Amino acid sequence: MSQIAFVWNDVSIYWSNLILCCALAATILAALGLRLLQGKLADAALYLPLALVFGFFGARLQHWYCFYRQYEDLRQALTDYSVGNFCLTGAIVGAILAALLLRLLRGTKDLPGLLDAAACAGALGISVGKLSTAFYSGDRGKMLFESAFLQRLPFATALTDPAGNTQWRSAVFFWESLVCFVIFLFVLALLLSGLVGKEKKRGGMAFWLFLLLFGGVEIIFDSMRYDSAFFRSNGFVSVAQVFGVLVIASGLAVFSLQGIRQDGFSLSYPVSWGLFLVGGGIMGYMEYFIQRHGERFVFAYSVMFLGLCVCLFAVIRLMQERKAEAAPADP
Amino acid sequence: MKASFRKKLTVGLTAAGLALTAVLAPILARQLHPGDAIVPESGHRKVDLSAQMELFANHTASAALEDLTYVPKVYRIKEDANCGMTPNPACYGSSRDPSDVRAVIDAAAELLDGQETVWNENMHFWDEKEFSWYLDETIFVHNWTELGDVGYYCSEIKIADPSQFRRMLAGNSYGASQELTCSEMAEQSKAVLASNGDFYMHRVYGINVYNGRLCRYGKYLDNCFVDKDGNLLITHLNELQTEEEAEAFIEENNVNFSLAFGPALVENGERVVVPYYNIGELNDEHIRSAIGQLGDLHYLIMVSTEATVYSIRNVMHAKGCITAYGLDGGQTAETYFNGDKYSRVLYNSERQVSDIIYFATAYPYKEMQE
Repeated sequence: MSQIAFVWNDVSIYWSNLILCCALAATILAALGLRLLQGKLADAALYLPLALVFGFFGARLQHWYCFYRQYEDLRQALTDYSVGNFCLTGAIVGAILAALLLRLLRGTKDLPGLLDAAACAGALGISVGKLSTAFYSGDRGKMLFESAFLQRLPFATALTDPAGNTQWRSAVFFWESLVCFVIFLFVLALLLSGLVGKEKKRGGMAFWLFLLLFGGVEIIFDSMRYDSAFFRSNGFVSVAQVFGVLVIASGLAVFSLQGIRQDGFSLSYPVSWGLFLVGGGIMGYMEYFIQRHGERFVFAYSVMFLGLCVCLFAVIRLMQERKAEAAPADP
Repeated sequence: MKASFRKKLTVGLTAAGLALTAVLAPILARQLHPGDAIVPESGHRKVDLSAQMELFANHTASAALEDLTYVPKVYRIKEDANCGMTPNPACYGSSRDPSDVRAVIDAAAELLDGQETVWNENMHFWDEKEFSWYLDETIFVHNWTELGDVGYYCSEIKIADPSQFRRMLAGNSYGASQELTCSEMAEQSKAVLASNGDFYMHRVYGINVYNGRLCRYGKYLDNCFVDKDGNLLITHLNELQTEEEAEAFIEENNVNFSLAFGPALVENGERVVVPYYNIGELNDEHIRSAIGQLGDLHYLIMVSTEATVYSIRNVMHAKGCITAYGLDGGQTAETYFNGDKYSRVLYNSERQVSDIIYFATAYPYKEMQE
């Protein structure tokens, strides 16, 4: 038994990996369970192995792209798992690509429903999986807490530096885990209300809700952490933040187009676009601000959170209008 | 029939999915590496046994001959150490009076070994900071602020052994994902004086050598190599045309680590003419930092207020640097001394960076106390 691994004779298993396996199992069981409730277990059984493989390699590829210095080359990144790490955004993109591929191969007739279940299960998996970071030094924040009151979870965790000093670094992984659990509850509630409620919900809404909430909070969390994954060409632009912005912008575009196509143009759309720009502007400026005034993180992240709320409000109000419509009847 | 087949297929696929998970989960649990472990890693360098024997012999001779003659003890930081020795708080000092600095310089005569300091009483001092210093048996650092065309934060360093001039990468390994502030890394490395480095993770150009190993090859920047004797060696952009040439250079010159920012400012005591450079906006006025070598194990680190590269080059040259090289500037530029930022940091807020260079004491003060 050790601080970071379970050791039994010559077998040692990192605690973090055990938690990752629990997260994986939770994701799979939740996805299967939800699809079972939806009465379409077959495509989930096809999708999960595919998503596992795509998610795994997506996460690895992104890590290689952002931290290529940790690998000899791409081949090592894809074959030698004793070095390097994984990036969550890559895993999510991989899982979405797996669903699209399955649809292309006619493995599912209900892509939106499948994505709904996968998103809900994914939120649970991320919530559990993030806890694995407790056993190594990743996913911590830039903020160091010196007050004894804050030197505990959920605020901070201790890391020992090479000089033997203890640092109480903000426990971003723990906050992410909690927030993802709340997102899971939201998404699950939306999904279950669609399944058992009187009003049939439009497919894909739970998936969109997950993407918007997760992508949005990642913009803030990624700004907080000290090991963000940046684009190669620019050491200050984070992949997770760009992913978050793209997701929210895509949501705005999709729901605007759907709405305008079905109901025609109304003032509601420019209002949403304006709100998105205002919220996005606030968040962008706060990111600029925090990179220059790191010690004012409480102010900066509070305002950034407000900006995020404005952005999400702009999209979710359009989404709300769409979700009330009846979904096409199942074949 | 059709429904029954679908049901069987569903059950079969579900079972297959769960079986795949059952197989993959233990494999993942055994194989995946948990990233950057909390437990600090030791360095990657091979331990030089002959150097350790030499050190042991020196200490034994010094102790044995104590009553007969004076054999100065050699102190060295272990090659595989991640940080220096703990500085002795009693060795720090500060004053506004130049005569106090002169007294400390006199006290450092043995360490200076006949070399002149850059600092003298006739400089045009800038009243921004007090004079401050650290002096023990193995390291002398003193800081002052000076006015030229702009303001300069100057740190002069003399060390006894090359192992005291070090580079720290955030996360203690090349390419690690963490970024830390200069002050965090200075504390972690027990630096007496720390300065920003090249912020190697921020760009993809130049050559990176860490612990004697070539980690990145690139030919679009001037490079500053620090050899195992603590000398600064410069190569110019496009000089090392291939990775093999870079490897050969590292091998031939016994390179310990390198910096990839630039440009080279002074070489062989002469100012380097820099008409164009790929990074750093030469003619724009930014906060700049630079490192120069004044003599054997004798260095000067400067951080300017808003200045062009040419300003800081001219000052490094005027101070008598044999070799000088530009480091990253802007919000990255910083020197850290005695638990605080010494130079003024842009926006008064330290940037999270990937690396620092630092000077540490090799005198085992804490161990001796214990």
